Amino acid sequence: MQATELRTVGASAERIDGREKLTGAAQYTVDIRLPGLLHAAILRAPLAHARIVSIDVGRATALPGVAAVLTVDEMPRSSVEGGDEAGGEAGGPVYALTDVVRRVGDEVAAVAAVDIDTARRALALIDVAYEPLPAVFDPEQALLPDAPQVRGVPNLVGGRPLLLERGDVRRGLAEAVAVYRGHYETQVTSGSPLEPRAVVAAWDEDGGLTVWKASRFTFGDRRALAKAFGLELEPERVRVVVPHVGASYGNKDESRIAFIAAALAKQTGRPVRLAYTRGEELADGRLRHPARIDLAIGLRADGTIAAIEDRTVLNTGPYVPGTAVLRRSAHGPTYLYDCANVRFEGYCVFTNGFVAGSYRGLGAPQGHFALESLIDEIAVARGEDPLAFRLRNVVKPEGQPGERYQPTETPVPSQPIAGGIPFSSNGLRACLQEGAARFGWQQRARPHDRLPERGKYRGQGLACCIYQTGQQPSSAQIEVGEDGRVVLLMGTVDVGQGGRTVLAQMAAEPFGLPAGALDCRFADTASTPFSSGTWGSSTTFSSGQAAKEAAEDAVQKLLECASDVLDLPGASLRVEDGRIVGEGVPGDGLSFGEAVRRVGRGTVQGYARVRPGSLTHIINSFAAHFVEVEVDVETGLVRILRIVAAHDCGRVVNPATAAGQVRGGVTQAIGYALFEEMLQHPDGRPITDSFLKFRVPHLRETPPIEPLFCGDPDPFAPYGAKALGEPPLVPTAAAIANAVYDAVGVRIRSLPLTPARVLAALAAAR
Amino acid sequence: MAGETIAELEYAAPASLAQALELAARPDAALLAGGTDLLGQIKDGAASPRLLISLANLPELHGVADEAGSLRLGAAVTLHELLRSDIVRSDWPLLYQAAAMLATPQLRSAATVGGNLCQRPRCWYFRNPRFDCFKKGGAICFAREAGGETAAGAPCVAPSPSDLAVALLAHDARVQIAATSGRRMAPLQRFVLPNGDDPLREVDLASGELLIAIELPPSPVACGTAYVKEWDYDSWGFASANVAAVVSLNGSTVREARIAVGGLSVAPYRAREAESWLVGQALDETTAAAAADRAIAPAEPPVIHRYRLPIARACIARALLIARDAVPTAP
Repeated sequence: MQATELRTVGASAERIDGREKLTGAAQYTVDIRLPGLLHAAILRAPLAHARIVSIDVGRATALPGVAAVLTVDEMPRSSVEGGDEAGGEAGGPVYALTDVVRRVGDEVAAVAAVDIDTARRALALIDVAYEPLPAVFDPEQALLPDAPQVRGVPNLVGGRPLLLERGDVRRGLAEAVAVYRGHYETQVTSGSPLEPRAVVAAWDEDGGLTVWKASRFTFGDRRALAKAFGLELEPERVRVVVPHVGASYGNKDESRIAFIAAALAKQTGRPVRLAYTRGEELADGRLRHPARIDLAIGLRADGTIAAIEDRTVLNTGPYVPGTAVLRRSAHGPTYLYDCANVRFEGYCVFTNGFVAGSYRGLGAPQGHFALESLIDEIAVARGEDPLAFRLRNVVKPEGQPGERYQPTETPVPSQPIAGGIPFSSNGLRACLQEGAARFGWQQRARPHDRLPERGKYRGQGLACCIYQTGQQPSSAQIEVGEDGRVVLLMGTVDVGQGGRTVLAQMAAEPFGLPAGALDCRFADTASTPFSSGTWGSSTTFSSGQAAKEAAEDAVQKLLECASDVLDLPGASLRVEDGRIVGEGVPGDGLSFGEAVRRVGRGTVQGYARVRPGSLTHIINSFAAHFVEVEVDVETGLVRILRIVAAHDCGRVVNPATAAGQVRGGVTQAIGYALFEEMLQHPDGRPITDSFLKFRVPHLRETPPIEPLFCGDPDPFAPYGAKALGEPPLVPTAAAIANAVYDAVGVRIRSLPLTPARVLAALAAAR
Repeated sequence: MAGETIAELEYAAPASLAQALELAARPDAALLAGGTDLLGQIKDGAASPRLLISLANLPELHGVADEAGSLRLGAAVTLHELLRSDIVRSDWPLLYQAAAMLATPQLRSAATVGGNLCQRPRCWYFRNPRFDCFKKGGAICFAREAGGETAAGAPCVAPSPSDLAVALLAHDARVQIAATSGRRMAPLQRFVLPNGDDPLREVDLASGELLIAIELPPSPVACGTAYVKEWDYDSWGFASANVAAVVSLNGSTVREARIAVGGLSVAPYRAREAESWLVGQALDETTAAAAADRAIAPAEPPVIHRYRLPIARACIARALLIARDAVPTAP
């Protein structure tokens, strides 16, 4: 455990980038202006599956103002998959421009021109002849033996389903006195970052490449680009810089746009900017996997859970294999409730549909929607209050039933299937109890025998979740100069979530400084140390560990300098309020600058490279959300009146940014639950290509959201801080659906809960 | 994508109606008032004019005026101006409510009354450059196809998104139209076209014609009105169903009822059968619901919009009761 006297960690430090952003001074990728900058646009395929027979770029190239037109033939023969898009090259390489079209919108050619309008006009002058191929959009149909193959291999990613088992589910179901089943479906949604994907690429005279990119993973981009452009042995010649990012949601992981911009820049000898339109960001970005989930839960006579069986099918579209998403969809069903017998059978399936990828929460919102809907149904069927049922059955702090885990030399995975492993900390019961108290949860187990015909009805619902804390290798460097400035250098990206501020707080603590006193330099592969990227709820925990240890290392070295300079024993010295003090230190202490100057070594450096985690315990975060809704049974409209979101993320490093994370995630979950849905025509053409069609929550649809933090500091986490990035949008949709049931008596097992769905469910139930 | 880029355009801002009409006869011209619809159409690949004619400098198209109990609205009056008008606020509550429930303050400050009536459908296929639907010279209604209906050659099913049209229909409004050949008046009911022969037009406004003004005759004596709109979100949106009701009473029974219904059919319609059925009835929850059933009976929305039928029914019943309660009590 940490010393209890924390001053910077735990305080609502002002966001380091807040002023810059509010005044408009913050530079985003599209704000990068370079002399001679060209603008790029992408020609996208109109068919869902086709072979390109011929491309004639003659007319496009001849258009005045066009500098280059590229097709697959001019692109590096290096896959854009496999590097940063986790999951490997299932189904062969994928090039940044393609001659085999696997979805409507696939990248066929790219143009660079003096301005964006000219580039887009040139697209219309590229003549492409396509040979259409049979396409498949439904994942169950794609699994049939004679289905068209999307990637030249069977459509089931990995060739066999993902099986996760603990105990014996068959025996568990056999010993159950009642087995409850449900079929659940969730839709495709977009994270809809304010800033669409963007990149600027420029080659220098020495053959070095600099790329400015809204990226969540600079080193992944560097590796992929170096490989593509023949710099594999000297990747340092590729520099990837991330300006301010207008949100990533785990989603800005495509190297493809950097490949295209870099290839165009190489061809033209000029810097090139490629920025997605909103329509492209929606239809051609990386979307949330739609899921079909069959869930069965067996109950013993005493109301405990004997078995949980889950079959999940995810439609991943033609590219990102999605295996991590599939595993994450299993986490809730296999681990949230105390249960000796669980079985998860998961299918991730290639289709010619939208490209699904990594998006905040991965598969967890889908899995928890099914699980927490069915758990609610079971509680009501038993006549038991859903809160009481959960408190009785949620996983215990000592972990799932099973033989006691024998530690090895590698950290316990944060998302295991085996039992017998204790949690490092588990505030799930606290989230349920304190959340319920704050919300004013009333004991309820209301069966609806008569469905109302008219009027508006209120209801309350809850749902909880379990979520991994991201354990990623990370590193940090601290430099203290002769001017006394403390510089924090980190490869991780602040994607807009406030990572920079929180990491500065964690690094500032050992110096006794406020976060704002640090000079933070992030996400530039030329000057910042390695990071695994900003994803998987790992920044505060993993990068925070690195920031803390690097700062402690620097403090230790400063004390050594001071010890030399003052000729005092190191043990008598310490750092307080940004100065070196201790017995025998003259006056009000030695400043950092003076210590560095007098020792005469230029700078003092601290460094840490960490592989965080625990060898003995699972490090997970937890949450419970409580929702009140009002449902109009005549129009089907669901209004959310208020939400209490109780979270265990261990110690809260910054209450203000933590509250922001929770409110943001819950807001996305409201859109997920109520109206967000990416739609395709039956032939694969995207329909929802703007915010008028893909509706995200507006202010009126965002009710008061009250974040509540119920966790204790985690003994294995830096300052006790666990993950918070993704959990806020995991349990909400189920809590909303449960509240709709409470209000009007219908279970809706498909998202989103549109008026049409609510009315259909009411009509079917009457 | 196509669409994101606007082709080069000519722009004219004529200072007289005569000049405007002359320009409007050009087949590649489009009339630009608030632009909140037209510019979106151009960006979405649903329109590709070469000449934009601004209506900003034409005095005939401006002004909100009371003319002996009638109301004259210039076609280029913005919705913001409409809502700020004392006459509208005090004497035309139905119109006021319809305008107030429409879009957002930003849009209302630019959008105009005439533009609201003439706006084109909000169909997601029509407003998507990837689809050459019936309204863009194609041979298929994709909205019907998405619902599993016969799609080839079937006419467009996209409902008018106009809020004002519904309110104005209940007021028996008329429109004033100018052309180089002269002026004409038409009842709004004939101006908004049900599925006509020409899929490219939703209103009876020929090339070269210009909507000048809308006129509302005096309302029935001692009537109550209501505008009820539902859409798929809590925040603003285009109507899934919108209803305007005007009710006057004879003691405790209905003397006259008017019901205008939008969202279910290509053009908003007056539910005449329901209106006459109500006459002489006491207006209560039961008769309002029965009238609502009759009022939606003529509608045949496409499969993808059938969920709107019960919503429209609820809107009609609610509107009738609100209008009844708004009838001024006799002094």
